Amino acid sequence: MSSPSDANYIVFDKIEVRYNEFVTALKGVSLNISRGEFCFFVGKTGSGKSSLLKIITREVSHTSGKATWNGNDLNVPGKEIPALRRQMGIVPQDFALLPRKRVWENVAYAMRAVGATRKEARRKVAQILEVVNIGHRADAFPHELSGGEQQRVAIGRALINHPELLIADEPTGNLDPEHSWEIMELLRQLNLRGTTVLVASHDVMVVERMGCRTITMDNGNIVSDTHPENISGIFQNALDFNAAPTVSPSYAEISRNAWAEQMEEVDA
Amino acid sequence: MAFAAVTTAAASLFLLGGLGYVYFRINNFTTNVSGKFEMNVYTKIDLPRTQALATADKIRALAGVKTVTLMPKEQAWKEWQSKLGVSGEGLDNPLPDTLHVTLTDPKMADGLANQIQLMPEVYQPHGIEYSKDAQRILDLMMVVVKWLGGALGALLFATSGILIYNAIRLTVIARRREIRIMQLVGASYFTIWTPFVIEGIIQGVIGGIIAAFLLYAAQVAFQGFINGVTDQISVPVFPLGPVVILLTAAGAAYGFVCSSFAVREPLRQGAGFQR
Repeated sequence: MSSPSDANYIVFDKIEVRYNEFVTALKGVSLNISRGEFCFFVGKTGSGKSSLLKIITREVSHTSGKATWNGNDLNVPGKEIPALRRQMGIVPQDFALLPRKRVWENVAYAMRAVGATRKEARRKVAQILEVVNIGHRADAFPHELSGGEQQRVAIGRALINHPELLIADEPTGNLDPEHSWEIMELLRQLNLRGTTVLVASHDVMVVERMGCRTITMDNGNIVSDTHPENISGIFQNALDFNAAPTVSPSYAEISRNAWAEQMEEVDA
Repeated sequence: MAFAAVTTAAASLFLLGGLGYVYFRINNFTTNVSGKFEMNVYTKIDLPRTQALATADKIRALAGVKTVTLMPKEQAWKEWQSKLGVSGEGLDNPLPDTLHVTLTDPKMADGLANQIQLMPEVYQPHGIEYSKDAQRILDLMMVVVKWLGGALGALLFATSGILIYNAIRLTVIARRREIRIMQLVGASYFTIWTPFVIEGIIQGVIGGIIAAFLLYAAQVAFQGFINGVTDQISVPVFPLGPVVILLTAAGAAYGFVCSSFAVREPLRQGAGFQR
């Protein structure tokens, strides 16, 4: 059972984003997202899905309307934006990894940036890399990794500060179907652990197979909002991990229980 | 990028420091020349020595007069003969007592000459001798040095500031990916700002040290050149220690200010302040 505050975890109320007098990214969007939900935002390029997510990360400020997260207004002053972002994990489409830093250094960088000591970073990075199944490549440089591996590093970096909300903008945009599915499974595991996950994507196949709440946007408006209970049987099957056809063997080996155990260790 | 910033800072500070040093030396020189600027006051031919000394006291009391020394006519006559290499034996000394007057400010020479000429003990009608041209040239030189030096200095100061700003800005742009990633993970403005500003200060300091040693090298080369031409002019010793400290401090301040400005806007944009 969700509490009322859980139901109103993220609220957009008549949100409008106008970049200039000719370009309006969002035209009065209203939307509620519950705590612990896994939501996809789909739509063609320029439909407004990224702008909507960027309101939460405060990369974009809304022109009118009200947006809240956990009951707090998202329209915080500029100096409070870093503190806001520390409470969420952000996974960009281009992975945004530092090319001259090794995998573990990239993840540690996020911890160091928020003031963690080297010792803390060293301890936690090793664990989080195991969680996202990239520990064996800890000393590799980003250019030595596949797209899927790079994205896993980016997700590891987003997780390192224990966010309760994970935002991924086109996380599979640069990946082949197999790696896309691998990343989605990783995000699903996070969601099962309680993290609210919001994903902007135009990878319709992956979205349908995940069978989660899907918000379709077009021209700055929400044109449909489909909840899992309304998703057809074929998509419901995708919720079954065993039915997922193209999970990479290495990743599939990590059971849901093993995942939970690892995360508990990291938390400890 | 760091190399560009350091060399820019070094070149700017070398030019600024060099100009400052030249200005300081010329100013010093003109001050010394002013101190040496003197006029000769001739007394009446048969004026008693006591009255000549009293006249010296009267002149000494005038504003703008630094020193007054009496050249007795006997000594002047002797020096005159020695200078011309002739013997004045059997001749009467035709010279009067002479008062050598040095001034605190050459610009006051005309006014003082008018006042002194009115004294009854002074030879009439033209008992005063000084170089009006020399005074005018000196005045002009000082004005030119002050205005040209000031204008050039201000121009160089602004130019070098812009160059350092651009160098740091380029560094910031080259590292915008890193900045974006830091912003994505919630690094504070200060956390991101600090390394860039420290980098700016270090670049400024290195530039300042290089500029100081370049100035020293320029001075040594100039000294060598002057020594090769004449041994009549002695070039002053270069104050390396103070110059290094001064230019290093200037470089650090420059680096701090310019990098702070250079980082400010990209960080504000990246933080999502734009609508």
